[in-house]
Amino acid sequence: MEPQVDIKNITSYVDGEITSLEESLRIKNLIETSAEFKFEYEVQSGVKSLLQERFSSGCASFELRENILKSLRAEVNAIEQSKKPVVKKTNILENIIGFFTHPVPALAALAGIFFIFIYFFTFGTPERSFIFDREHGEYNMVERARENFSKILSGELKPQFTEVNPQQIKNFFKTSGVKYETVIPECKYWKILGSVVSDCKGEKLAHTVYTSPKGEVMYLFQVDEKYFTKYKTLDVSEDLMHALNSEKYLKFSENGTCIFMWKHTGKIFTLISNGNSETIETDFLAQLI
Amino acid sequence: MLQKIEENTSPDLTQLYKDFEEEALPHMDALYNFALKMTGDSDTADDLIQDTYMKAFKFFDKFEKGTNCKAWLFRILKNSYINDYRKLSKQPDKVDYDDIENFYENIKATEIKTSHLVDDDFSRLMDDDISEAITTLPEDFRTVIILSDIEGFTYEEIAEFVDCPIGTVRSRLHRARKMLYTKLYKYAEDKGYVKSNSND
Repeated sequence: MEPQVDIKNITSYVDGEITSLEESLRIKNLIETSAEFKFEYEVQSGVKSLLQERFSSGCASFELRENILKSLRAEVNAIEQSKKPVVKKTNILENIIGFFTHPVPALAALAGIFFIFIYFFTFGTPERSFIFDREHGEYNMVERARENFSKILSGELKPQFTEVNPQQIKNFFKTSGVKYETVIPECKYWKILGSVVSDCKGEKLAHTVYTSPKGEVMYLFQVDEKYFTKYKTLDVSEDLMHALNSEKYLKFSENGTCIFMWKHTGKIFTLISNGNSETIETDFLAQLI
Repeated sequence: MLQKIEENTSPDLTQLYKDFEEEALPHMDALYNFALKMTGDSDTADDLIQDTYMKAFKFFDKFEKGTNCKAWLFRILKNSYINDYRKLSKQPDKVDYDDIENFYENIKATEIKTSHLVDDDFSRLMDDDISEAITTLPEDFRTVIILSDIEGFTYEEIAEFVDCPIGTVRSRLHRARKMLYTKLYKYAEDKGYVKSNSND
Protein backbone atom coordinates (compact mmCIF):
# COMPACT_ATOMS: atom_id res chain seq x y z
CA MET A 1 0.00 0.00 0.00
CA GLU A 2 1.15 3.59 -0.76
CA PRO A 3 2.58 5.41 2.29
CA GLN A 4 0.15 8.34 1.75
CA VAL A 5 -2.80 5.93 1.82
CA ASP A 6 -1.40 4.31 4.94
CA ILE A 7 -1.08 7.68 6.65
CA LYS A 8 -4.75 8.40 5.90
CA ASN A 9 -5.63 4.92 7.15
CA ILE A 10 -4.29 6.05 10.50
CA THR A 11 -7.25 8.43 10.58
CA SER A 12 -9.62 5.50 9.98
CA TYR A 13 -7.74 3.51 12.65
CA VAL A 14 -8.11 6.34 15.20
CA ASP A 15 -11.83 6.59 14.43
CA GLY A 16 -12.44 2.86 14.70
CA GLU A 17 -13.48 2.70 11.08
CA ILE A 18 -11.23 -0.21 10.09
CA THR A 19 -13.30 -3.37 10.19
CA SER A 20 -10.63 -5.86 9.11
CA LEU A 21 -8.64 -7.22 12.03
CA GLU A 22 -5.69 -7.91 9.75
CA GLU A 23 -5.59 -4.34 8.47
CA SER A 24 -5.99 -3.01 11.97
CA LEU A 25 -3.01 -5.02 13.18
CA ARG A 26 -0.95 -3.88 10.21
CA ILE A 27 -1.63 -0.20 11.00
CA LYS A 28 -0.89 -0.82 14.67
CA ASN A 29 2.42 -2.37 13.72
CA LEU A 30 3.29 0.59 11.47
CA ILE A 31 2.59 2.99 14.34
CA GLU A 32 4.81 1.02 16.71
CA THR A 33 7.71 0.68 14.31
CA SER A 34 7.82 3.97 12.43
CA ALA A 35 8.44 7.35 14.10
CA GLU A 36 6.62 9.12 11.28
CA PHE A 37 3.53 6.94 11.62
CA LYS A 38 3.69 7.29 15.37
CA PHE A 39 3.71 11.08 15.03
CA GLU A 40 0.76 11.01 12.60
CA TYR A 41 -1.12 8.74 15.00
CA GLU A 42 -0.44 11.09 17.90
CA VAL A 43 -1.64 14.10 15.90
CA GLN A 44 -4.83 12.40 14.77
CA SER A 45 -5.70 10.80 18.11
CA GLY A 46 -4.42 13.80 20.10
CA VAL A 47 -6.62 16.31 18.25
CA LYS A 48 -9.61 13.97 18.45
CA SER A 49 -9.34 13.49 22.22
CA LEU A 50 -8.58 17.17 22.72
CA LEU A 51 -11.88 18.06 21.03
CA GLN A 52 -13.77 15.37 22.89
CA GLU A 53 -12.44 16.46 26.26
CA ARG A 54 -11.85 20.16 25.99
CA PHE A 55 -14.23 21.55 23.41
CA SER A 56 -16.40 24.00 25.26
CA SER A 57 -19.90 23.17 24.19
CA GLY A 58 -22.43 25.95 24.37
CA CYS A 59 -26.01 25.27 25.29
CA ALA A 60 -29.11 26.41 23.51
CA SER A 61 -30.45 29.28 25.60
CA PHE A 62 -33.55 28.95 27.75
CA GLU A 63 -35.16 31.64 25.62
CA LEU A 64 -34.51 29.67 22.43
CA ARG A 65 -35.99 26.53 23.98
CA GLU A 66 -39.05 28.44 25.12
CA ASN A 67 -39.52 30.04 21.71
CA ILE A 68 -39.27 26.68 19.98
CA LEU A 69 -41.75 25.07 22.37
CA LYS A 70 -44.10 28.00 21.95
CA SER A 71 -43.87 27.84 18.16
CA LEU A 72 -44.41 24.09 18.22
CA ARG A 73 -47.48 24.54 20.38
CA ALA A 74 -48.81 27.16 17.98
CA GLU A 75 -48.14 24.76 15.11
CA VAL A 76 -50.02 21.94 16.86
CA ASN A 77 -52.96 24.24 17.56
CA ALA A 78 -52.91 25.52 13.99
CA ILE A 79 -53.03 21.98 12.64
CA GLU A 80 -55.85 21.15 15.03
CA GLN A 81 -57.83 24.27 14.11
CA SER A 82 -57.34 23.66 10.41
CA LYS A 83 -58.93 20.23 10.92
CA LYS A 84 -61.97 21.44 12.85
CA PRO A 85 -63.96 23.33 10.17
CA VAL A 86 -63.79 20.31 7.83
CA VAL A 87 -65.37 18.11 10.48
CA LYS A 88 -68.04 20.69 11.21
CA LYS A 89 -68.91 21.19 7.54
CA THR A 90 -69.34 17.45 7.05
CA ASN A 91 -71.65 17.26 10.07
CA ILE A 92 -73.72 20.19 8.89
CA LEU A 93 -74.02 18.72 5.42
CA GLU A 94 -74.96 15.34 6.82
CA ASN A 95 -77.54 16.97 9.07
CA ILE A 96 -79.04 18.98 6.23
CA ILE A 97 -79.35 15.86 4.08
CA GLY A 98 -80.84 14.05 7.06
CA PHE A 99 -83.38 16.80 7.64
CA PHE A 100 -84.46 16.87 4.02
CA THR A 101 -85.25 13.16 4.09
CA HIS A 102 -87.86 13.94 6.76
CA PRO A 103 -90.39 16.56 5.60
CA VAL A 104 -91.42 17.89 9.04
CA PRO A 105 -88.04 19.20 10.26
CA ALA A 106 -87.08 20.39 6.77
CA LEU A 107 -88.72 23.77 7.27
CA ALA A 108 -87.00 24.22 10.62
CA ALA A 109 -83.66 23.35 9.03
CA LEU A 110 -84.16 25.82 6.23
CA ALA A 111 -85.18 28.52 8.68
CA GLY A 112 -82.11 27.76 10.77
CA ILE A 113 -79.80 28.00 7.77
CA PHE A 114 -81.47 31.25 6.74
CA PHE A 115 -80.87 32.80 10.16
CA ILE A 116 -77.28 31.60 10.22
CA PHE A 117 -76.65 33.27 6.85
CA ILE A 118 -78.29 36.50 8.01
CA TYR A 119 -76.21 36.44 11.19
CA PHE A 120 -72.92 35.84 9.41
CA PHE A 121 -73.52 38.43 6.72
CA THR A 122 -74.57 41.05 9.25
CA PHE A 123 -72.12 40.56 12.06
CA GLY A 124 -69.24 38.51 10.68
CA THR A 125 -68.09 35.36 12.47
CA PRO A 126 -68.60 35.68 16.23
CA GLU A 127 -65.28 33.91 16.88
CA ARG A 128 -63.31 36.52 14.95
CA SER A 129 -65.14 39.40 16.59
CA PHE A 130 -64.27 37.80 19.88
CA ILE A 131 -60.62 37.53 18.86
CA PHE A 132 -60.36 41.13 17.68
CA ASP A 133 -62.20 42.46 20.72
CA ARG A 134 -59.39 41.19 22.89
CA GLU A 135 -56.60 42.95 21.00
CA HIS A 136 -55.51 45.68 23.38
CA GLY A 137 -52.30 46.91 24.99
CA GLU A 138 -49.45 49.29 24.33
CA TYR A 139 -47.52 46.84 22.15
CA ASN A 140 -50.46 45.07 20.57
CA MET A 141 -50.24 45.25 16.77
CA VAL A 142 -53.97 45.70 16.22
CA GLU A 143 -54.20 48.40 18.88
CA ARG A 144 -51.20 50.21 17.35
CA ALA A 145 -52.70 49.93 13.88
CA ARG A 146 -56.01 51.34 15.14
CA GLU A 147 -54.23 54.30 16.75
CA ASN A 148 -52.09 54.96 13.69
CA PHE A 149 -55.08 54.79 11.35
CA SER A 150 -56.95 57.24 13.53
CA LYS A 151 -53.95 59.59 13.50
CA ILE A 152 -53.65 59.30 9.72
CA LEU A 153 -57.31 60.28 9.32
CA SER A 154 -56.96 63.24 11.68
CA GLY A 155 -53.77 64.39 9.91
CA GLU A 156 -51.73 63.88 13.06
CA LEU A 157 -49.57 61.25 11.36
CA LYS A 158 -48.15 62.31 8.02
CA PRO A 159 -46.11 60.22 5.54
CA GLN A 160 -42.37 60.64 5.96
CA PHE A 161 -41.70 59.46 2.43
CA THR A 162 -44.02 60.28 -0.45
CA GLU A 163 -42.43 58.44 -3.38
CA VAL A 164 -44.82 55.91 -4.93
CA ASN A 165 -42.28 53.59 -6.53
CA PRO A 166 -42.31 50.30 -4.55
CA GLN A 167 -38.56 49.77 -4.91
CA GLN A 168 -37.84 53.29 -3.63
CA ILE A 169 -40.19 52.67 -0.72
CA LYS A 170 -38.42 49.43 0.08
CA ASN A 171 -35.09 51.30 -0.01
CA PHE A 172 -36.55 53.97 2.25
CA PHE A 173 -37.57 51.31 4.77
CA LYS A 174 -34.17 49.68 4.57
CA THR A 175 -32.16 52.88 4.97
CA SER A 176 -34.44 53.97 7.80
CA GLY A 177 -33.51 50.87 9.78
CA VAL A 178 -36.27 48.38 8.99
CA LYS A 179 -34.45 45.06 9.27
CA TYR A 180 -36.92 42.81 7.46
CA GLU A 181 -37.88 42.51 3.79
CA THR A 182 -40.98 44.53 3.06
CA VAL A 183 -43.79 44.01 0.54
CA ILE A 184 -45.23 47.04 -1.26
CA PRO A 185 -48.32 45.92 -3.14
CA GLU A 186 -49.65 47.99 -6.00
CA CYS A 187 -53.28 48.26 -7.02
CA LYS A 188 -55.21 50.18 -9.68
CA TYR A 189 -57.83 51.50 -7.28
CA TRP A 190 -55.62 52.17 -4.29
CA LYS A 191 -52.73 54.58 -4.93
CA ILE A 192 -49.77 54.83 -2.61
CA LEU A 193 -49.90 58.04 -0.62
CA GLY A 194 -46.71 57.59 1.37
CA SER A 195 -44.78 55.60 3.89
CA VAL A 196 -43.81 55.85 7.52
CA VAL A 197 -41.17 54.19 9.67
CA SER A 198 -42.02 53.99 13.35
CA ASP A 199 -39.95 52.98 16.35
CA CYS A 200 -41.03 50.37 18.84
CA LYS A 201 -38.64 49.28 21.60
CA GLY A 202 -35.77 50.46 19.38
CA GLU A 203 -36.92 48.42 16.36
CA LYS A 204 -37.99 50.15 13.15
CA LEU A 205 -41.33 49.09 11.69
CA ALA A 206 -42.83 49.66 8.23
CA HIS A 207 -46.16 51.33 7.40
CA THR A 208 -47.66 52.28 4.04
CA VAL A 209 -50.70 54.46 3.37
CA TYR A 210 -52.91 54.26 0.28
CA THR A 211 -55.74 56.43 -0.91
CA SER A 212 -58.60 55.88 -3.34
CA PRO A 213 -60.14 58.25 -5.95
CA LYS A 214 -63.04 58.69 -3.51
CA GLY A 215 -60.67 59.89 -0.80
CA GLU A 216 -60.85 56.68 1.24
CA VAL A 217 -57.74 55.69 3.15
CA MET A 218 -56.14 52.28 3.47
CA TYR A 219 -53.31 51.71 5.92
CA LEU A 220 -50.97 48.72 5.81
CA PHE A 221 -48.73 47.77 8.73
CA GLN A 222 -46.28 44.90 8.17
CA VAL A 223 -43.96 43.33 10.71
CA ASP A 224 -41.71 40.29 10.58
CA GLU A 225 -43.11 37.40 12.62
CA LYS A 226 -39.89 37.21 14.64
CA TYR A 227 -40.79 40.51 16.27
CA PHE A 228 -43.69 38.64 17.91
CA THR A 229 -42.16 35.25 18.54
CA LYS A 230 -38.53 36.00 19.21
CA TYR A 231 -37.89 39.65 19.95
CA LYS A 232 -41.26 40.35 21.61
CA THR A 233 -41.30 43.84 20.16
CA LEU A 234 -45.02 43.57 19.46
CA ASP A 235 -47.71 41.16 20.48
CA VAL A 236 -51.11 39.82 19.51
CA SER A 237 -53.27 37.51 21.55
CA GLU A 238 -52.51 33.79 21.40
CA ASP A 239 -55.94 33.15 19.83
CA LEU A 240 -55.28 35.68 17.10
CA MET A 241 -51.87 34.17 16.37
CA HIS A 242 -53.44 30.71 16.09
CA ALA A 243 -56.11 32.06 13.79
CA LEU A 244 -53.46 33.76 11.63
CA ASN A 245 -51.58 30.47 11.39
CA SER A 246 -54.63 28.56 10.24
CA GLU A 247 -56.65 31.03 8.17
CA LYS A 248 -55.79 32.64 4.86
CA TYR A 249 -56.79 36.00 6.28
CA LEU A 250 -59.01 37.41 9.02
CA LYS A 251 -61.60 40.11 8.56
CA PHE A 252 -63.35 42.29 11.07
CA SER A 253 -65.48 45.43 10.95
CA GLU A 254 -65.74 48.08 13.65
CA ASN A 255 -66.83 51.72 13.75
CA GLY A 256 -67.11 52.09 9.98
CA THR A 257 -63.70 50.63 9.30
CA CYS A 258 -62.62 47.20 8.21
CA ILE A 259 -59.60 45.41 9.57
CA PHE A 260 -57.83 42.62 7.74
CA MET A 261 -54.99 40.57 9.13
CA TRP A 262 -52.96 37.84 7.53
CA LYS A 263 -49.64 36.09 7.69
CA HIS A 264 -47.58 35.74 4.56
CA THR A 265 -43.89 35.14 3.76
CA GLY A 266 -42.93 35.24 7.43
CA LYS A 267 -44.58 38.58 8.06
CA ILE A 268 -47.77 39.62 9.81
CA PHE A 269 -49.86 42.25 8.06
CA THR A 270 -52.59 44.44 9.48
CA LEU A 271 -54.68 46.50 7.09
CA ILE A 272 -57.24 49.08 8.19
CA SER A 273 -59.42 51.07 5.86
CA ASN A 274 -62.55 53.15 5.74
CA GLY A 275 -63.10 51.92 2.17
CA ASN A 276 -65.32 49.11 0.95
CA SER A 277 -64.13 45.87 2.50
CA GLU A 278 -65.25 43.71 -0.44
CA THR A 279 -63.31 45.88 -2.90
CA ILE A 280 -60.25 45.53 -0.71
CA GLU A 281 -60.68 41.76 -0.69
CA THR A 282 -61.08 41.44 -4.45
CA ASP A 283 -58.75 44.18 -5.70
CA PHE A 284 -56.04 44.25 -3.10
CA LEU A 285 -55.86 41.10 -0.99
CA ALA A 286 -56.51 38.69 -3.85
CA GLN A 287 -53.25 39.63 -5.55
CA LEU A 288 -51.29 39.54 -2.29
CA ILE A 289 -52.16 36.33 -0.52
CA MET B 1 -46.31 21.91 28.15
CA LEU B 2 -47.77 18.63 27.06
CA GLN B 3 -50.84 19.15 29.22
CA LYS B 4 -51.67 22.37 27.42
CA ILE B 5 -51.42 20.58 24.11
CA GLU B 6 -53.53 17.64 25.24
CA GLU B 7 -56.46 19.78 26.33
CA ASN B 8 -57.36 20.79 22.80
CA THR B 9 -55.79 18.35 20.42
CA SER B 10 -56.54 14.97 18.93
CA PRO B 11 -54.77 11.92 20.39
CA ASP B 12 -52.77 11.39 17.17
CA LEU B 13 -51.39 14.90 17.19
CA THR B 14 -50.73 14.73 20.92
CA GLN B 15 -48.78 11.52 20.40
CA LEU B 16 -46.85 13.05 17.51
CA TYR B 17 -45.93 16.03 19.66
CA LYS B 18 -44.99 13.77 22.56
CA ASP B 19 -42.77 11.63 20.33
CA PHE B 20 -41.17 14.74 18.87
CA GLU B 21 -40.52 16.14 22.33
CA GLU B 22 -38.89 12.88 23.42
CA GLU B 23 -36.90 12.16 20.26
CA ALA B 24 -35.96 15.51 18.79
CA LEU B 25 -35.72 18.05 21.58
CA PRO B 26 -32.84 16.35 23.47
CA HIS B 27 -30.55 17.06 20.49
CA MET B 28 -31.01 20.81 20.68
CA ASP B 29 -27.64 21.54 22.33
CA ALA B 30 -25.75 19.48 19.75
CA LEU B 31 -27.60 21.20 16.92
CA TYR B 32 -27.03 24.59 18.49
CA ASN B 33 -23.30 23.99 18.84
CA PHE B 34 -23.04 22.94 15.24
CA ALA B 35 -25.16 25.88 14.07
CA LEU B 36 -23.05 28.27 16.10
CA LYS B 37 -19.81 26.93 14.66
CA MET B 38 -21.20 27.08 11.13
CA THR B 39 -22.78 30.55 11.28
CA GLY B 40 -20.34 32.17 13.71
CA ASP B 41 -23.14 34.19 15.28
CA SER B 42 -25.42 33.27 18.16
CA ASP B 43 -28.51 35.13 16.86
CA THR B 44 -28.22 33.49 13.45
CA ALA B 45 -27.65 30.13 15.13
CA ASP B 46 -30.85 30.66 17.17
CA ASP B 47 -32.85 31.39 14.01
CA LEU B 48 -31.36 28.39 12.26
CA ILE B 49 -32.28 26.09 15.14
CA GLN B 50 -35.80 27.46 15.35
CA ASP B 51 -36.28 26.92 11.59
CA THR B 52 -34.80 23.44 11.84
CA TYR B 53 -37.19 22.38 14.60
CA MET B 54 -40.25 23.81 12.88
CA LYS B 55 -39.38 22.03 9.63
CA ALA B 56 -38.58 18.84 11.52
CA PHE B 57 -41.96 18.89 13.27
CA LYS B 58 -43.79 19.44 9.99
CA PHE B 59 -42.15 16.32 8.57
CA PHE B 60 -41.92 14.29 11.76
CA ASP B 61 -44.70 11.96 10.65
CA LYS B 62 -42.35 10.95 7.78
CA PHE B 63 -39.47 10.24 10.17
CA GLU B 64 -38.87 6.52 10.47
CA LYS B 65 -38.97 5.61 14.14
CA GLY B 66 -35.96 3.76 15.44
CA THR B 67 -33.59 5.40 12.95
CA ASN B 68 -31.07 8.04 13.91
CA CYS B 69 -33.08 11.12 14.85
CA LYS B 70 -29.98 13.18 15.55
CA ALA B 71 -28.60 12.53 12.05
CA TRP B 72 -32.03 13.32 10.57
CA LEU B 73 -32.16 16.65 12.42
CA PHE B 74 -28.62 17.49 11.35
CA ARG B 75 -29.59 16.90 7.71
CA ILE B 76 -32.56 19.28 8.04
CA LEU B 77 -30.29 21.81 9.71
CA LYS B 78 -27.71 21.48 6.94
CA ASN B 79 -30.32 22.04 4.22
CA SER B 80 -31.68 25.11 6.00
CA TYR B 81 -28.15 26.39 6.48
CA ILE B 82 -27.24 25.94 2.81
CA ASN B 83 -30.50 27.37 1.50
CA ASP B 84 -31.07 30.28 3.84
CA TYR B 85 -28.15 31.02 6.11
CA ARG B 86 -24.82 30.30 4.43
CA LYS B 87 -24.71 33.66 2.66
CA LEU B 88 -25.33 35.45 5.97
CA SER B 89 -22.60 33.59 7.83
CA LYS B 90 -19.21 34.94 8.66
CA GLN B 91 -16.81 32.76 6.74
CA PRO B 92 -13.15 32.54 7.78
CA ASP B 93 -10.44 33.91 5.51
CA LYS B 94 -9.26 31.52 2.82
CA VAL B 95 -6.65 29.10 4.05
CA ASP B 96 -3.51 28.38 2.08
CA TYR B 97 -3.24 24.67 2.63
CA ASP B 98 0.34 24.55 1.25
CA ASP B 99 1.48 26.96 3.97
CA ILE B 100 -0.17 24.82 6.62
CA GLU B 101 1.31 21.64 5.13
CA ASN B 102 4.82 23.15 5.11
CA PHE B 103 4.48 24.30 8.69
CA TYR B 104 3.11 20.92 9.69
CA GLU B 105 5.96 19.03 8.03
CA ASN B 106 8.41 21.36 9.76
CA ILE B 107 6.92 20.60 13.17
CA LYS B 108 6.76 16.92 12.36
CA ALA B 109 10.46 16.75 11.49
CA THR B 110 11.41 18.44 14.75
CA GLU B 111 9.02 16.51 16.96
CA ILE B 112 10.06 13.16 15.52
CA LYS B 113 13.70 14.08 16.08
CA THR B 114 13.08 14.96 19.74
CA SER B 115 10.51 12.18 20.38
CA HIS B 116 8.24 14.87 21.74
CA LEU B 117 4.73 13.85 22.79
CA VAL B 118 2.00 15.69 20.89
CA ASP B 119 -0.39 15.77 23.85
CA ASP B 120 2.00 17.83 25.95
CA ASP B 121 1.89 20.79 23.56
CA PHE B 122 -1.71 21.74 24.09
CA SER B 123 -2.40 20.95 27.71
CA ARG B 124 -2.04 24.60 28.72
CA LEU B 125 -4.17 26.03 25.93
CA MET B 126 -7.48 27.61 26.88
CA ASP B 127 -10.78 26.10 25.74
CA ASP B 128 -11.47 29.34 23.86
CA ASP B 129 -8.28 28.84 21.83
CA ILE B 130 -9.57 25.44 20.75
CA SER B 131 -12.99 26.81 19.92
CA GLU B 132 -11.50 29.68 17.90
CA ALA B 133 -9.20 27.33 16.01
CA ILE B 134 -12.22 25.27 14.91
CA THR B 135 -14.09 28.36 13.81
CA THR B 136 -11.24 29.44 11.54
CA LEU B 137 -11.19 26.14 9.64
CA PRO B 138 -12.69 26.19 6.12
CA GLU B 139 -16.34 25.09 6.12
CA ASP B 140 -15.83 21.62 4.57
CA PHE B 141 -13.18 20.72 7.12
CA ARG B 142 -14.98 22.34 10.04
CA THR B 143 -18.10 20.33 9.23
CA VAL B 144 -16.43 16.92 9.25
CA ILE B 145 -14.34 17.52 12.35
CA ILE B 146 -17.33 18.73 14.40
CA LEU B 147 -19.51 15.85 13.22
CA SER B 148 -16.83 13.25 13.88
CA ASP B 149 -14.90 14.38 16.94
CA ILE B 150 -17.54 16.35 18.81
CA GLU B 151 -20.83 14.78 17.75
CA GLY B 152 -19.52 11.24 17.28
CA PHE B 153 -21.03 10.51 13.86
CA THR B 154 -19.61 7.63 11.82
CA TYR B 155 -17.94 8.15 8.43
CA GLU B 156 -21.03 6.74 6.74
CA GLU B 157 -23.33 9.20 8.51
CA ILE B 158 -21.01 12.10 7.75
CA ALA B 159 -20.75 11.02 4.10
CA GLU B 160 -24.52 11.07 3.84
CA PHE B 161 -24.63 14.42 5.58
CA VAL B 162 -22.05 16.15 3.37
CA ASP B 163 -23.09 14.16 0.30
CA CYS B 164 -19.68 12.82 -0.66
CA PRO B 165 -17.88 9.44 -0.61
CA ILE B 166 -16.55 7.97 2.63
CA GLY B 167 -12.99 8.30 1.28
CA THR B 168 -13.47 12.05 0.96
CA VAL B 169 -14.75 12.23 4.53
CA ARG B 170 -11.67 10.40 5.78
CA SER B 171 -9.37 12.60 3.70
CA ARG B 172 -11.05 15.83 4.92
CA LEU B 173 -10.93 14.62 8.50
CA HIS B 174 -7.27 13.77 8.19
CA ARG B 175 -6.45 17.21 6.80
CA ALA B 176 -8.79 18.97 9.22
CA ARG B 177 -6.97 17.48 12.20
CA LYS B 178 -3.62 18.41 10.70
CA MET B 179 -4.82 21.97 10.15
CA LEU B 180 -6.20 22.16 13.66
CA TYR B 181 -3.00 20.74 15.10
CA THR B 182 -0.96 23.34 13.20
CA LYS B 183 -3.20 26.18 14.34
CA LEU B 184 -3.09 25.04 17.96
CA TYR B 185 0.66 24.56 17.75
CA LYS B 186 0.99 28.16 16.55
CA TYR B 187 -1.18 29.37 19.45
CA ALA B 188 0.92 27.34 21.88
CA GLU B 189 4.09 28.69 20.31
CA ASP B 190 2.85 32.30 20.51
CA LYS B 191 2.07 31.82 24.19
CA GLY B 192 5.44 30.24 24.85
CA TYR B 193 4.08 26.80 25.74
CA VAL B 194 6.26 25.16 23.08
CA LYS B 195 9.62 26.13 21.63
CA SER B 196 9.48 27.93 18.29
CA ASN B 197 9.90 25.72 15.23
CA SER B 198 8.92 28.12 12.52
CA ASN B 199 12.42 29.37 11.83
CA ASP B 200 14.16 26.04 12.01
